[in-house]
Amino acid sequence: MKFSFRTLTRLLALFILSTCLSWWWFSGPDVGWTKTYVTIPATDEITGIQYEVKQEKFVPGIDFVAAGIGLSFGIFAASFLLSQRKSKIKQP
Amino acid sequence: MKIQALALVALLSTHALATEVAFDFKDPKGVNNIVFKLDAPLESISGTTNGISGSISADPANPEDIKGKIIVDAKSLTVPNPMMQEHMLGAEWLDTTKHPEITFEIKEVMNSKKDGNSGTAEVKGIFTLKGVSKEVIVPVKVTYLPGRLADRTGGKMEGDLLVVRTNFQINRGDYGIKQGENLDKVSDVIDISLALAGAAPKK
Repeated sequence: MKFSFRTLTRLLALFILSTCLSWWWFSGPDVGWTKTYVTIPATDEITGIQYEVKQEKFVPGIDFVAAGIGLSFGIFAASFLLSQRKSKIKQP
Repeated sequence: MKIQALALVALLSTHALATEVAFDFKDPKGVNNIVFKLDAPLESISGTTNGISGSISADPANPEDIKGKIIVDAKSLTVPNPMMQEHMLGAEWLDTTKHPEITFEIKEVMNSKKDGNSGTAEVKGIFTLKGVSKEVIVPVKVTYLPGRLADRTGGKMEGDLLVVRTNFQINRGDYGIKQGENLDKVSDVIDISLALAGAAPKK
């Protein structure tokens, strides 16, 4: 089975879109901005002060989804500029 | 002459009874924290800092006798989004390169109420942000924990603790931070919550 460059590019766009949306969805769909850390509340036993402990974690936000959609649509749009000639890549 | 001598003795003894203790607010445990929140129609921003230092001198017997200054390293302010943080510390917003410190200097303590080792008061002070100083009055809750420093340091250091808590609001526009701009995304009102413990090691 052979794919044209155009089809391969569109498949790439679909892959980026689905990966981006799944990552966002399964990380707990956060409608805020992307975060590079999360905070866990803690209390100091002696003083009773409540504070937050930072834990490094990538939480994709709405900007991440927007970038993924933008990139995939950009690649999809660019695919129209490519020829429909079959590539030499053989697919199983 | 005799009366004058008696008055001098009385004055000296009053001074000796006033046990002013200096509490250092640099916290190696990273528990001391300030939380700031901005709730705009389109966006809610919440951040923290642990870059706190400064000292407060207080007389536990006299709650209105408090002096000192709390200093925050402006570059230590963090929000979870890296791009937002870059903008926040940049020249257009806090300009931390030119104004590396945010400070609160205590000027006067009013309406204090003491309840055991705790107390509440209104503190008048000078709040300085982005190089602009303004007088503010903040409600403060103070708890004095005599001899509890040893518990906090695993017995390495003897001394007392002073816990200070306060919540107050400021308007960023008052401090020259993009006055009247971006109000849909960055609220003008900033809610600030402080929870700090100062240590006074016994010498």
